[in-house]
Amino acid sequence: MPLYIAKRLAIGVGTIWAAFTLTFLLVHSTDNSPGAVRLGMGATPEEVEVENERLGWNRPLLTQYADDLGKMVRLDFGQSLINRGDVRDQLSDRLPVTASISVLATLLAGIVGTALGVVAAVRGRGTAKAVNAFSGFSLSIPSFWLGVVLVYFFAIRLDLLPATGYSRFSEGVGSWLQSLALPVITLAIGGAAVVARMAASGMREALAREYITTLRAIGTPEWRIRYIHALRAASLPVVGALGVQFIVLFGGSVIIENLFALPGIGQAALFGATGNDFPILIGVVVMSTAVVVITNLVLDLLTAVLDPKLRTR
Amino acid sequence: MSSIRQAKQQRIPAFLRSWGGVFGAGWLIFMFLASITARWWRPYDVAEQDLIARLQGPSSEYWLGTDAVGRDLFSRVFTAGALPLQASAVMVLVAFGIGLPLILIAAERGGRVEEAIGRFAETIMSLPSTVILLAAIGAIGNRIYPVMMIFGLLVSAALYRILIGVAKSSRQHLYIDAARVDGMGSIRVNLAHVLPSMARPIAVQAAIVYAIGLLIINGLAFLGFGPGEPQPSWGFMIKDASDNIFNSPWMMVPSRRRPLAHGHGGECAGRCAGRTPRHPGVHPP
Amino acid sequence: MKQSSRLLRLLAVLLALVLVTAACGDNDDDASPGAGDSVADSGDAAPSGDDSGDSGDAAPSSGGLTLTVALESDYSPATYNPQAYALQQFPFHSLLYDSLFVTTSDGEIVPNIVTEFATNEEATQLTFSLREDLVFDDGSPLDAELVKANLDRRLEEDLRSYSLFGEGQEGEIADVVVSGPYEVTIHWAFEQGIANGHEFLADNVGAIVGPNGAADSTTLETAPEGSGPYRLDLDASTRGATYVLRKWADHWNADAYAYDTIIFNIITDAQARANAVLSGEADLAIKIEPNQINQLESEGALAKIGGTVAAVNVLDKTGERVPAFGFVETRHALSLAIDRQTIVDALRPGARPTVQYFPEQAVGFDPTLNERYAYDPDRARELLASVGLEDGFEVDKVVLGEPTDVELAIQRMWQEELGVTLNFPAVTNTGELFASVNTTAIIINEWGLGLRPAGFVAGPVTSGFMNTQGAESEAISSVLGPALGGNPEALVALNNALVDEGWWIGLYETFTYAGYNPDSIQGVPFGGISGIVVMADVEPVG
Repeated sequence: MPLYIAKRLAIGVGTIWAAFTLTFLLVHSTDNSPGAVRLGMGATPEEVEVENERLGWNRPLLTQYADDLGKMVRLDFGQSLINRGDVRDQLSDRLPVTASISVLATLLAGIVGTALGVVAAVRGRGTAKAVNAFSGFSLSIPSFWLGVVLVYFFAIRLDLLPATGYSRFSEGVGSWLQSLALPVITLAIGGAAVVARMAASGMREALAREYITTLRAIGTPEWRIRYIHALRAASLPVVGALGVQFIVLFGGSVIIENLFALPGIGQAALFGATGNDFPILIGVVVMSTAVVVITNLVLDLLTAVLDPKLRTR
Repeated sequence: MSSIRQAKQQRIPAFLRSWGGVFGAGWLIFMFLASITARWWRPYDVAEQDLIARLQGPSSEYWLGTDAVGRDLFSRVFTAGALPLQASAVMVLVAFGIGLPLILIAAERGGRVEEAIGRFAETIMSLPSTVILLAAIGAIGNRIYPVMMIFGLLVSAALYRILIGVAKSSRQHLYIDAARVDGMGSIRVNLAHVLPSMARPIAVQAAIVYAIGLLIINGLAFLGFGPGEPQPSWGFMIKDASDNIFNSPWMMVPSRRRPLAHGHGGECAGRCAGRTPRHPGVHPP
Repeated sequence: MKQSSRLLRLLAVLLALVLVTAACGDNDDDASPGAGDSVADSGDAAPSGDDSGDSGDAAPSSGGLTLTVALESDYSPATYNPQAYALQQFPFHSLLYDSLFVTTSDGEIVPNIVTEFATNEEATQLTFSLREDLVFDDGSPLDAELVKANLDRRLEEDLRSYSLFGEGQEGEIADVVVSGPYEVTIHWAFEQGIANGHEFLADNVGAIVGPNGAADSTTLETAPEGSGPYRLDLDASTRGATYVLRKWADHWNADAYAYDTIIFNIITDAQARANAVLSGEADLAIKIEPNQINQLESEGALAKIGGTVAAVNVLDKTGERVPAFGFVETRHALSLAIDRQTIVDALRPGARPTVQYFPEQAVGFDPTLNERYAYDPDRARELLASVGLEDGFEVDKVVLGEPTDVELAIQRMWQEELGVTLNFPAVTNTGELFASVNTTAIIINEWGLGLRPAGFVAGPVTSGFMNTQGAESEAISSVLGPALGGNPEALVALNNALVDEGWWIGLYETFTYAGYNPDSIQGVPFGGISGIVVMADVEPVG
């Protein structure tokens, strides 16, 4: 078990390192320079050169890499080129928003998806087909399209939920949940479709196992067989799928935030991308990767605890 | 999370035996051809405006209606397909170009080599791809082909995860041992025997990854990283439609149709082949 | 049984995770008690209007009345120095800084922290006195020395609002003299003087930053330093997304501001901004785009103010670039051939067709001009024929990227009515675009003329980039001086001269739009045709 944890940790650190390196290389592979971005359109090439020198952009690539890597380890991403603010401070203000959306959406996708999957596996062919059709449909809807439609009906037409904005957790759980309802639903539908298929096939497989037949033979009530024994067996792949879904939904949140005017990491990434704000871009990538890695680590540990085969390793 | 299980479930399907599969594959091929050739048969130029006929519903004149400056949505919807269809194809090529050699090497060597490649794939797979793509656009500019190539790199790790099991099991066939005993070189064994036996799962994954690529491109266009106006893009058409949703709710329908149909076509071609598109790490936004 | 609840435990872990992350991010908040009136609550909290004092107040911990404003972009993206921004960004900075003079919602420029001001007889000097009770947070006073320190940085390139004081500009300053502890005298560089010089020291231009910021403007990159009625709550704010401003009770004019907290949310998506007003998350949304107008109007949530005019500006008045433009008849024919009503109906709903320079709400507007130059293609053809151009001619309009919908409409009208071919050669950067004013005959644009339209004529139209040929018109130059002085008849004459000479081919007058929640605020107080919202005058319902 400790070995398992150590391995997962090492992969997590490796992932963050890879994210950093990839972004670093991307940023340094362009003609653009931070001096030009920082000074804006009016600057002369000489001024840009001076600014680049000051920012250390002209040093050898490896020196810069080592330097930036060292800073990153200390969670220092420097200053934004656009608003000159500290990147870490700005992003840590935004992280809870994106994390809230993606975690809640993962939860919702897990619950709804499992329920649908179980129903599809347990009920007749008709239900299974309906669930299958639903998940096929929702898998192929772009979430940004769905979001527009949901806002139009639920926020504007029916005025049930807020269309935009984020209400902090400290301002009350109710308003926090309300402000996240539409984005979370928008994101979760696609995830629920994936989980539903996973859960359905897991359930079918589990129900076909020998021990279930044995349980039936000894007269165990059908609901116990289905919702306790079979579901237990089917839950492990679902947990696995949720880890993957979290990565997917985290990315989806980035696109959704603009639509719902949520001040999350995704908006920062968007502004960073339009403004060529390199430190923000590196900070966004590293911090997003860290969130994904930590969540997956937690899920991995959970799987390890749940799965007897892994526990003994 | 467990490649073994996925490998086990990787049944090789009767691809075109189901109606859904035929429909999905047929739809994709039809759209591909129609979009690539749109410039020769579309009824209007993509930039041609009819100011009097703005935001119209479908009519015999404008089959899918018109947009905010009176441009024909039918022409724009089809023309818009060409770029994403091609860029996504490039992405698929890159993904398989990187992924397949790694899969074949790992399956052949096994042991430490396989473990090392597996770790590498796992690392890449946990990267949040949407954020990385935005960062790529911020760094190298809004150039769809290089950006999609980077996406291809990320996707290759997921492909590895899915297909490594298939590759390993196909290497266990007797005729491969026979070929090796026969003195066939490693590369020839892979090309002549291992790859052909994996053809179906590869085709299925290609279709799924292709559809995902389309959705990613449209997502980026929705965020404003599409081709410049007046060149049409599906993502921007959705954006345009959502800006006009009060004035003309109809626009949401054709604008969605294409990404949906494509996603569905690819998804269906994959699913009807007997597999849920279970993509660790990659998925439409 | 224990193991069967795997999923439940997983969900519990995830839930714990989200609670932790959400709570962590809010830790900053605890430092500022009284924070956090719910953003979502402020909008729809006053259904009956009888609890006027606390209508934004749903959360018990909130500190009184809250106003939530949605902005289309970050009004303070690089620094908190108001002098680095345009008038358009002033609604945000007006709450943090005191300005010498301000624009009111009547569209007048009045003294703010200035108690009295006077211009000498030759109009070459402006002297004004300051209130003596103004202090910054560190206790240092806002006095004459500080005002001089602010204005003495007028040549710095980053301080865009000061550009009008630069060399050769309309408000060039020769010297700023401290003539008393709280009295400043400004010496204008122009020998003929500037009659209404105090108007140059209004809003963003007249905003005074504190002593540290005046000495080293980089200190303003991380925090504002102003003496205004509100303080920025940095802990509760997220750069580029949300700014929370809290009222500073000791401000000399604190009573004029109705709200205890003002929250600015940056919502870049135009539809999301409109949605925020419609579903009640914002009380006020600044800048509504044409696509959202109908939607807000049908809900009674739209406010608008005129003052932006679109025009074909004739650069070539002598005919040396396109010979046809040497004839005033040609310029008139091009004007008469444009069906402005159709353009407005189809492409700029809500705008108003106009042929003239001055906006309807400005002194100088002349309704008879619109009648004289009404759409008349027959007359246009006659005019062209009278100068031998019945077969038309070709003219270029350089575009950055693609021509606009309005430009395409004009192209079609000129082609069909007059046989005049309008081409759109494209350039790829703004430098080339700006350079094209030296070689092409026309530009087409929307101009926000601000509160002093005549100043724009004295600047770009007659002596700036719209007249690089140095063409002269007796009709214009003879009335320009009195018009700059504010003489109403001269302003009308100037307007007529611009149109009669064919220098200005007006297209339509359009509006700046804002959205608001009529249940929570009493309309949108625009500062006249400047188009900015006067934040001091935003009042709650009831």
